[in-house]
Amino acid sequence: MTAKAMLCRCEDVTLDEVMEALDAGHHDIESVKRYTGFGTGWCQGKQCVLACARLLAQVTGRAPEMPITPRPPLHPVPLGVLASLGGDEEG
Amino acid sequence: MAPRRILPADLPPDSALARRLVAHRPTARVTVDHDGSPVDAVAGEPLAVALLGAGTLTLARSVKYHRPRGAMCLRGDCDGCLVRLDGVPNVMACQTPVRAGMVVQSQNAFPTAGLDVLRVTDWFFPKHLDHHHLLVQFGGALNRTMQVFARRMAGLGTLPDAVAAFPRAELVAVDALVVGAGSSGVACANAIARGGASVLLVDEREGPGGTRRDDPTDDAAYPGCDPAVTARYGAGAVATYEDETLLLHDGRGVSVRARARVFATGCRESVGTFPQNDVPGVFTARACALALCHGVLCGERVVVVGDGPFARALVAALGARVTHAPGAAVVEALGGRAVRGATLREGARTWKVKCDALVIDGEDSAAYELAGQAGARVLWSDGRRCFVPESDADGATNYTGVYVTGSLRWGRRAPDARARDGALTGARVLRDLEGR
Ligand code: FES
Repeated sequence: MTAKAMLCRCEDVTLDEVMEALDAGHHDIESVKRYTGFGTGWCQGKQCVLACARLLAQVTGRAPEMPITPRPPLHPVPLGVLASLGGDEEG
Repeated sequence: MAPRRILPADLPPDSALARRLVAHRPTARVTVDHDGSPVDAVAGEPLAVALLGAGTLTLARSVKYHRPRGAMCLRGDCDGCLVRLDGVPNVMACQTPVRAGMVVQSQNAFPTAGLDVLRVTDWFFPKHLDHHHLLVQFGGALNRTMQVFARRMAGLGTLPDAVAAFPRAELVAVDALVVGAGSSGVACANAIARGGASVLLVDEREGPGGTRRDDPTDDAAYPGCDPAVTARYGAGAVATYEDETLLLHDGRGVSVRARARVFATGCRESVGTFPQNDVPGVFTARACALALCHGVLCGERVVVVGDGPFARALVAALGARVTHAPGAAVVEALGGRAVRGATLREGARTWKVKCDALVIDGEDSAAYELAGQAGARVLWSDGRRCFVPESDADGATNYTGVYVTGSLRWGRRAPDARARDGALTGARVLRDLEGR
């Protein structure tokens, strides 16, 4: 059994990988995200941004900075729903 | 050993949980199909809860390592419950009410979620598979081949069976939109409506009550909405920009234009980051409590870690059926396809427990995402160890027309304190609407 600690479940990013990013000098959420790909999955960071922030607070002893903008959608949305919003034209 | 349904007769008759289960006694038993097997379910309950009640822990496989995944939060926050439903991929089973005749398929697994041969990816990359910095860390043709293979077989679902037609989104305009129908959201919407402004209250849940819906020791009635409030349940806010908010209601888009937007989105729960935290059978205490309120016990041998409100409610409702470790922390979960135990630590002591459900009431955190999207400034709170939208005494944020209220702002408090906060914010919204 491989005992991975999942920091980001959607993208299978482990705690190990994030620690590696920290060791490589990435000490803010945005660059850890770019380095590991965490937070880019299906949940858009609802679980992992916080896990990463708490880890950073612990490791650096500083308050983590403003998180990456929480991108819409909050939950997966069928493309058809977005298309159904239409533009300015009458539908 | 597996999760299963319990009956009111299994419980002390004078308990709040027994009364809740009797009060909500299922009226419509239906059958859904899960990977070819019939599953007994109750119409209207969350599909993920029905699948748990049938003893199914594993619903899918993770994208990269094909690790088994199952429901963990039952709140739309993890990735554990994605299924292919009636030919449509990536449907969140925990946010989907059961209907008779649903056809549910595991996705992202070969051949099934329970037995997935691509799990070898996990063993092949014991530390991690770093596809971002691949060539730096891994050499060897075999590794490269394996990565290509793993990545190709990974991903989320496959395309829908048929092209669906979507009706044009509904357009709604109101003075105020309140997102979240827990204690604070309802009180806030009531205050705004009583002041004469038009207000739409929305919640992704099947009714009002928020956190209280998931407390098995709470069988009191929820405070009702003022008749002047328009409420929509099963309607989740998924995006917000300027004065427009997109709701997903019964699979259809609703675009709401509101002069004031109030976020009463409460808190999220998580289990924490420890080895094997993603194994099926690891649940947040709230998920376990939520399932229990639907009459589903998430395991035969349940260990509850932590001393938060949901852990305490579970222990109060289930008594000796659960083992409670209030002061412990999880060192690691044990088990491969499903949890079969855990190593716990408290102070200098470390010990192992056996269980088939590891239930954790960890630190909660503010569900700040929508308020942040709306324009509110979001800051780190050292006390709560999470991001919280900044607000003044009434809950107004730095962004005009955007407000936050209730547990989102303060963390968990008693329901009446949350209701008072909601009413305070509602009064402020009214004043601002009149002033603008
Ligand atoms: S998202 Fe459904 S169980 Fe977590």
